[in-house]
Amino acid sequence: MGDETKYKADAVGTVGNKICGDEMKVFLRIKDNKITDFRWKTYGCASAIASTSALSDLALGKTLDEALKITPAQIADSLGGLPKQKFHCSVLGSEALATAIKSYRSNYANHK
Amino acid sequence: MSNKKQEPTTLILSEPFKENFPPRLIPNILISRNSLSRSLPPSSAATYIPDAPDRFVTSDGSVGVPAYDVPDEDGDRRKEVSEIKGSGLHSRVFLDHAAGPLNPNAFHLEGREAAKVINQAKKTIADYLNATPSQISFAPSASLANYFILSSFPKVAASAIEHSSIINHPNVAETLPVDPLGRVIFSAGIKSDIISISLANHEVGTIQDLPAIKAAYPSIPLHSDLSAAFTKIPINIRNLNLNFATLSGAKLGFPGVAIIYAKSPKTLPKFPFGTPNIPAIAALTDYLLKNPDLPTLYESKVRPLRDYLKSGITRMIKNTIINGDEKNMLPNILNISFDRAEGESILLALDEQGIAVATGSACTTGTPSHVLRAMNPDPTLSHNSIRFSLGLETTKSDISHVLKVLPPIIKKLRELSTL
Repeated sequence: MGDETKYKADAVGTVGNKICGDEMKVFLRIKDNKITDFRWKTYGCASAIASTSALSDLALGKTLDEALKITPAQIADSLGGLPKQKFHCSVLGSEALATAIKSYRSNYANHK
Repeated sequence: MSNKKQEPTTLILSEPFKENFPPRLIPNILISRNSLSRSLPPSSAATYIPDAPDRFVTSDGSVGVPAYDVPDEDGDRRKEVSEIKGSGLHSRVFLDHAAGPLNPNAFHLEGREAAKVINQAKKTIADYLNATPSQISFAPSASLANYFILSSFPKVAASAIEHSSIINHPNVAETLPVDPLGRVIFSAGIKSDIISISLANHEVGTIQDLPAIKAAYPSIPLHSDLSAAFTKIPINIRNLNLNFATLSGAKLGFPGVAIIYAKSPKTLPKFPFGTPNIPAIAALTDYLLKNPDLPTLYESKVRPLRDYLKSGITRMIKNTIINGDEKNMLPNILNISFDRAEGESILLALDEQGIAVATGSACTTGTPSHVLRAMNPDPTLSHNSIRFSLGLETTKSDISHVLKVLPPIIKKLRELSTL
């Protein structure tokens, strides 16, 4: 992601917290209802970092509705599988994306 | 610690068992042929003398006895063969396989040799600790030893940073808090039947002032898990005035054996540990005999390398916290938290670069390090922690390699981090 203050995101979503050990933040650029850019930051273990990275590949270019359909299992599969105790990292990833899209839609609805 | 010449460890293992032991576990062990597999070549006559000095086994399992020149086919290897007086040349006939050849309670030669290993071990370990052999016994692991010792006392007071085998014991009734450096705070009254405090902490390396604790509670028995401290700093168990102690062989490279010390052996109940791990006990004894003063080695060789690692990291990487009491710390441990970089990620990245470390991160163990949490409530301290623990074989070049690869790893993880 680099310096997030310089990046003009259309949608931002943060999930997790440092107390349980993982935090993910996604920054989306959206045009014509499609995700045209997906940047991210993750504080957490290697599986958490990999999950967010994999999700960014899966979601890029998709419409918002298509992106919302990406499941934790798909994230895990694209990584070649995740250990059982790390599966929650993929869940966190899809939650971060959903949070970003939800905030975008509610902001967009408000601005309409 | 002793420079006294000790009786060498001797043990007879029958041939089929020799193959199953990795060479490291059979130093100083005499291999004899048993009747199951061999007949003797005519040239290899030799006398078995149990007390001969300086027996050794080379890494490929062949036995050497420098004082005795045993003729052999290939010239480089020497084999020693047992001879039973009066019966002429014949190898041992072992017909006690139901008990196994390493049973120290058996009365035959093999059993007596196994018992000798135990006695030799007790003497060596007692010398190292300034104890007496009768105060030493063995268990399969320090965790099990801790469990059984503490089970004998209805109420246990343990420090908050004890090993999980102690802190999770069902009899723990009081937990003694620690300060941010990991030093036990013991100003309050203790109502328990025994106090359990490790001499040095296995995660952060803080060394406790056990004599002060004993002086504060003179009538309560004191148990100490010495696993992290043993061989790293001098331990005079008599001066420490401990009632009980446990030491892990695993931490020295000899899993499967732990040592129990009891000031008054009669105060220990009979533990159901079964047949002791003779090969591991023999190997541990051999290691201590060959290295009668390991604490001096750690002080002179390892501490400077640890300090070099510490100063290198703190110089090159900002926003780090060293965990533990730096003024009273084991010479081989450095536990350090890196702001905004998670421990398991650091561990895996180092592993990729050929470096093995440990972390207190919850991602790895399921729960964050209870030791670091007891010292400081900030959860990121343990999430972001790495424990470097050096060994006698660690070199300056190893540390330089770490100092080369670690800063870019931390930089990258911090760039990725939400924090």
